[in-house]
Amino acid sequence: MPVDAAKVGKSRQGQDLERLMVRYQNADAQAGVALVEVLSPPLFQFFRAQTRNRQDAEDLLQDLWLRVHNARASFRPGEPVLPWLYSIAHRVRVDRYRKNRRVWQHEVVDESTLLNAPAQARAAASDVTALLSQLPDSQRELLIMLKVSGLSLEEAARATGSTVGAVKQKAHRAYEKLRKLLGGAQ
Amino acid sequence: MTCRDIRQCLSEGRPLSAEAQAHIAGCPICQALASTDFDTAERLEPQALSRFKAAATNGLVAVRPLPSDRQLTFLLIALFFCFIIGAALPSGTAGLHALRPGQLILYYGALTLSVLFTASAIVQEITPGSRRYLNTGRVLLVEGAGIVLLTALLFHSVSTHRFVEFGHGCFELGASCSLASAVLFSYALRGGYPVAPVRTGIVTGFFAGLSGVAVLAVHCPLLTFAHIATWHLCMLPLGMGVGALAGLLIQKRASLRNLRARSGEAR
Repeated sequence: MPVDAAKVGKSRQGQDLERLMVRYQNADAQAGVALVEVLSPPLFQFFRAQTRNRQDAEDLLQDLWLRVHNARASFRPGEPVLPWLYSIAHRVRVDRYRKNRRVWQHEVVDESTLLNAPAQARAAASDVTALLSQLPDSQRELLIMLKVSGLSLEEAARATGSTVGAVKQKAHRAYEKLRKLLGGAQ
Repeated sequence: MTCRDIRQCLSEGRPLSAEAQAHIAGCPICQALASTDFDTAERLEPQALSRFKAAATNGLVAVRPLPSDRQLTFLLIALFFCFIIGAALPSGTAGLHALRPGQLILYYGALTLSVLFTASAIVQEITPGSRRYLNTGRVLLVEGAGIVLLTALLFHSVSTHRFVEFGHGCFELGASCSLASAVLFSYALRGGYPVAPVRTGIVTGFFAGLSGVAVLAVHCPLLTFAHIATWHLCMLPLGMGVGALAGLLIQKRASLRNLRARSGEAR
């Protein structure tokens, strides 16, 4: 069943996810399959926006589902599923980043080159992937959680183990950086 | 309405007012920011989805969900004090009797507060997606510094008479209590999932170290700053170090297990 990930939360879909998680904890394999079908597409988008290629994103997603399998007892019925799930996804991303740190650094485009480039190059660089690769990992991940995965500020704060205030500040800094990349100071 | 206001709106996820939309219409940069579509065009392939289903459902057994934060914290604190009583009584309570009333209240009060906050921090660490009320690093820093400062204030003597001879007995008792309590607390927390195993190991190690410090506080009648700061309080950094190593081992083991599981599915 298609799911608008941006609206999942305290909505009816959020409550459906909670029910599926409870059944999954009770060893209902069908519930596990349903969770994978519903949540894998937005999670794939989450990882794909932060990786070099599809294969890496799929590897991360598979790692995530293995961890979810091991961590399922730590989900509490009555709590929202998305912060729980995305906190594990956040950790998967951090662990993989630490492992492959050098590979990512080679692929980051130099910011000053980008800002000094002629208008055509800047227009090309407004491509999302190029823009996002300019941001620090934590800012990039946060924007993806908020804009792609549709998490609320509260959910993103819980997923990243910080406070709502810190999340707002980080998002603001991310937009500030994007503004500079898109075309100069005001 | 300025460009900064627009960025503030976007970062807080607030709907854009008429004034904001009017600004965006006239500002190419804000327009680009507001309309940036972060979604990628790629979609998941069906065969990948099958692998994920296998990963999520292989060897599925029923599990009991974690108790609430309050219940877990209470359990940890109760275990802590039961352990202290059980470990300190056989080894003697000379330390308890050697303290003056003011020292007793302040020193044990500080240890009790540390236990409360550290237990809460541990429960946060083993519950993915939990609300963060405490910054784990700051909690440990404040507690550690606070206990050292309080020790310096309460126990002025810096005598080092028979320093090593008396000290290594306390070290052995404190270290064995810390290790035993670490095993006990880890067992109590086994249903949780440490999202950051090394950090969880550090804070659990600190908690176990606190149990060593508390047992020594009850047992040891030597009230000199040099002795307490060296042979008692060393349980804290020792616990954190051992906890960090344990966390690293858990992380490596989980990584290997996932790698094997992925290889198994690929075949």
